[in-house]
Amino acid sequence: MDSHIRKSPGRELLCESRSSTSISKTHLLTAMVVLTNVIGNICLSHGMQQVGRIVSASPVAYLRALINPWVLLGSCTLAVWMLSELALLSRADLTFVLPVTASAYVLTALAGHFFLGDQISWQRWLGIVIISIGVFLAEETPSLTSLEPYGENRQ
Amino acid sequence: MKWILVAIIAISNTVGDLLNTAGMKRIGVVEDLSLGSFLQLCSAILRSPMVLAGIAALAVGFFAVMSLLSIATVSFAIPATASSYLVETLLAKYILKEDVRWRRWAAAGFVVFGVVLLRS
Repeated sequence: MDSHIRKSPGRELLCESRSSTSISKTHLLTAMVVLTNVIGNICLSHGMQQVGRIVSASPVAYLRALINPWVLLGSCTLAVWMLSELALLSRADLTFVLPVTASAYVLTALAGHFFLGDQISWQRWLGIVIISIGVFLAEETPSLTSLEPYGENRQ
Repeated sequence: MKWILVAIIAISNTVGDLLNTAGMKRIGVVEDLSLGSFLQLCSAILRSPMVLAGIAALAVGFFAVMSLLSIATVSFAIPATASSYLVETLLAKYILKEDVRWRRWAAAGFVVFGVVLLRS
């Protein structure tokens, strides 16, 4: 069978993670993670405003919220986000993925401003700039450094 | 109530991210971004207790975020999910043995600080 998942990362992924000149699969996957996160959260947040207050330990209350189309669309988008996040974690370090995908916060804030009418104060604009610096700093590091820490457990 | 939810979100995100990272590194590298590749990823996940536990932890965090969204604004709720970044960076360095140098510490620090400002 044609396999899409390779057991050992191999050296070329480490090399790819060190070259920042070309747009790699890791970068494309990062973009996918960020976009599905932003779209999912915006839809979900919009839907939850319509559904109203839910604070419950029972999953039934949350399942009932899925009747709302925005909540449903947001949840499905976040399911795609989960899969792309896992695919990204198979190729990159957690300490690379966390700050780089934090660009989702910037996009969520901007989308909230433009689509949901949220106010953006000057502190929020400053926050947006500072997060972007963090994203840029992490983006400068090689995406994968922990190649063989679990070697003995590899299936 | 808000802050209890923030604590639940932070703890479940930390546990979930660490389990998912360790689990995915054991599963192997997802080679391409095709549909087949994602289907194969799904079947690999179903056979990985570590990733399943990670997803379960993130699911707890997800429901806590949903609760928080229903009683707070999106600009309070979403930044709460970044509250665990520094702890996660520390644990990734010592448990996952990632090469965390000043750039990554600075990146995590900038993101957390920026997120706090975003909340104000």
